[in-house]
Amino acid sequence: MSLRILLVDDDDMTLKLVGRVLTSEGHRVETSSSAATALDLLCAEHDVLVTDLVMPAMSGLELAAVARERHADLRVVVMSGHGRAAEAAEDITWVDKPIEIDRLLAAITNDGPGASEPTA
Amino acid sequence: MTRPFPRHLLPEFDAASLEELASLVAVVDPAGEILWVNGAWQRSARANGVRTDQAEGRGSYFDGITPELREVYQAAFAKALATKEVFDQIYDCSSPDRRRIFHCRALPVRTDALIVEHALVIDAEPDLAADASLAAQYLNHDGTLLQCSHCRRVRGPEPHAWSWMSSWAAHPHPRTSHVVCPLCADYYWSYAPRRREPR
Repeated sequence: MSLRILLVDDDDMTLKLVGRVLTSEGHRVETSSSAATALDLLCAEHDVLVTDLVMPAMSGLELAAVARERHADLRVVVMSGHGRAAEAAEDITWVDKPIEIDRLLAAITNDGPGASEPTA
Repeated sequence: MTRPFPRHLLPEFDAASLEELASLVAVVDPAGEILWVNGAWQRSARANGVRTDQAEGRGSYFDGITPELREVYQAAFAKALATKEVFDQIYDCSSPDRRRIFHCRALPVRTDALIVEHALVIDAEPDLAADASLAAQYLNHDGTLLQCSHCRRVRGPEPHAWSWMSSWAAHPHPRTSHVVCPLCADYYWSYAPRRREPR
């Protein structure tokens, strides 16, 4: 199943690597290096928001909250090297950094154990 | 049970001296089979949970190396045997609570075997206070620390440098942004084999 994915990370290398993997899996991927630009790009046709947690100006969780106000059905996957944030919404899927590609793909397609267990 | 010293391969060597060396020593044949290891090797192997046969001086030397790097060492050892030139390498084996640098040598001998030695050349506790005092040099313009999520090195202080900072490997800086350094990007996202089966 091809999904339209908005990928957000302030690290250009992560954007490039994850974007390449998702594209090779047949998904349509748009990338953004900031939360502000991501909100400009976000539209109702996006199926999944994949975002980094720690970013300058606006965190991945803040971005997810604003995005969900506009697009309640948007699936959100947060990539984190810090474990799961306690204040996060229940229906956010977490993927630990360093990213395991299979876990990321499972989280995006909601297929299998993609999410990490809460750690914080 | 450990194997006897292969005196027929190393007639000029003093087995007792090799046995007592603080560095880790193994004798391997051209195929990489371990023929003998010294006491330091055995103690280190047991402490690090290495397979019993390897700890006692049996099995393949290359089984202890990750598959992606195995071919590199096989080629290096084969070259050392063919050219009779010593292979040597400095490598970093640090952990969050210990800074360790090793010097590895593979010494080809006339009888077509290799003596492989791993010598600990730096073994120090991390200087956490010094790391903290250097923080400003590593922080990005927006106050974040860029740390590779694979190798845990942090970017800076020189351009294009990725440095091991023990304190941040053990306890991440509160404003850490996890990124991917160029070497890990190439290795983990291109060179390392995917674990899953292709679709």
